Amino acid sequence: MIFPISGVTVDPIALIVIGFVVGLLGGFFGVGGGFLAAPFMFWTGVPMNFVVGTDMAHMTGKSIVAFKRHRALGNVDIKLGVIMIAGTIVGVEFGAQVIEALEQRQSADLVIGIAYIVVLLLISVFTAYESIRSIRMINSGAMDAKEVSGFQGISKKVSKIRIPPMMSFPASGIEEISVWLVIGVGLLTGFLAGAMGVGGGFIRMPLLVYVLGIPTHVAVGTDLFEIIFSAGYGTITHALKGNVDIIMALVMQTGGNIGAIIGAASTRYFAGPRIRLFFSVLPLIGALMVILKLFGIEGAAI
Amino acid sequence: MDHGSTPEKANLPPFRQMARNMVIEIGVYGILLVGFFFIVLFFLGEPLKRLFDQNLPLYALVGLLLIIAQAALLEFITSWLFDFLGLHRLTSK
Repeated sequence: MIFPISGVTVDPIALIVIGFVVGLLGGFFGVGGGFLAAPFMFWTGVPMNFVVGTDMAHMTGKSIVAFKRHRALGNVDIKLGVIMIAGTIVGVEFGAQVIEALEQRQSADLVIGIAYIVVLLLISVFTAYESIRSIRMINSGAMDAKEVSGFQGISKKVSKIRIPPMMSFPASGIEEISVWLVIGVGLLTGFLAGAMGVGGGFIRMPLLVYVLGIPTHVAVGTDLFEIIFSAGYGTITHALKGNVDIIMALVMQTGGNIGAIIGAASTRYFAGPRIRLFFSVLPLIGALMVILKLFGIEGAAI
Repeated sequence: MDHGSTPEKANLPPFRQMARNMVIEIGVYGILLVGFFFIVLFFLGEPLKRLFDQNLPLYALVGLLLIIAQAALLEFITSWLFDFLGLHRLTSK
């Protein structure tokens, strides 16, 4: 099919399949999925300059669908999401500035790439270890199934930091927490996303669970709420630069929305530790993409 | 407490019934999605290309609105149809 805006011929079925897979992951794990969609879009024949912007556009749509589904299930903390967005915006800008400064030095790509791989591997290993431990503890009766995670020490210590203003987040089951901590999570996620050039979904979800002590399902839903705004903002900025093929985005969204519905609905049938266990594979895929990029495979990580 | 971490199986509708309804829902939603896409392609394809060439700010705005419309509006219509038909959705509490 010829896409008149970008002027390229791309197989629409391939785009729908990419959208579906990424939508499924987004609905289930609360990630944008750019780390997976972008390389596959490029390998399908989408020009590099249209990859990120078009992916952002389709990400916005499928996140709206998944967010609505999670909201219907009571898995979204709007208040938490709004506060985090403030931190994320500042973090993304700061991260982008740091990258710009680093890029003036030689081998910045290698340093950033290795740092990224290390961060992703740490997230993956920790999440896998914690979720397996939680599942075993729940099965043996050593842990209440209603506990957020098997490592509550971090979130309990964090909750003792009482820098005003303090705020309660009933939708997340948090009685009182410093607003600065919530902004801090947004800031750190935004920084990593801005510095590493990808959405922060697979960094934010574990941080929400392990640092703030948010239930996994609420972390997934709230993450999607935030992605709507970050991806929507990204769509506008990329479209203004002429880097969004909206027809292509609508094709991808056809599969993406259906995937998002199935992904979001499936979370009802899985407990938090199991979702986190499956989730632990995602950062590995992200790391693999960066490794491929470091080996010079074009489009592997954008 | 992780109220979402343990699905309360007793409160979950039977999976078979939910899966059947979901297949119907996805079928309805899928038809609407494809219909919306072809309407955009045939009626807005050329105007969108012109906007892209001549007025990027307006193109950005229209593009985002189309994305939101495809996501939110069609979802709303599907929900309405489901309620109208008296079917239970998989993502209903």
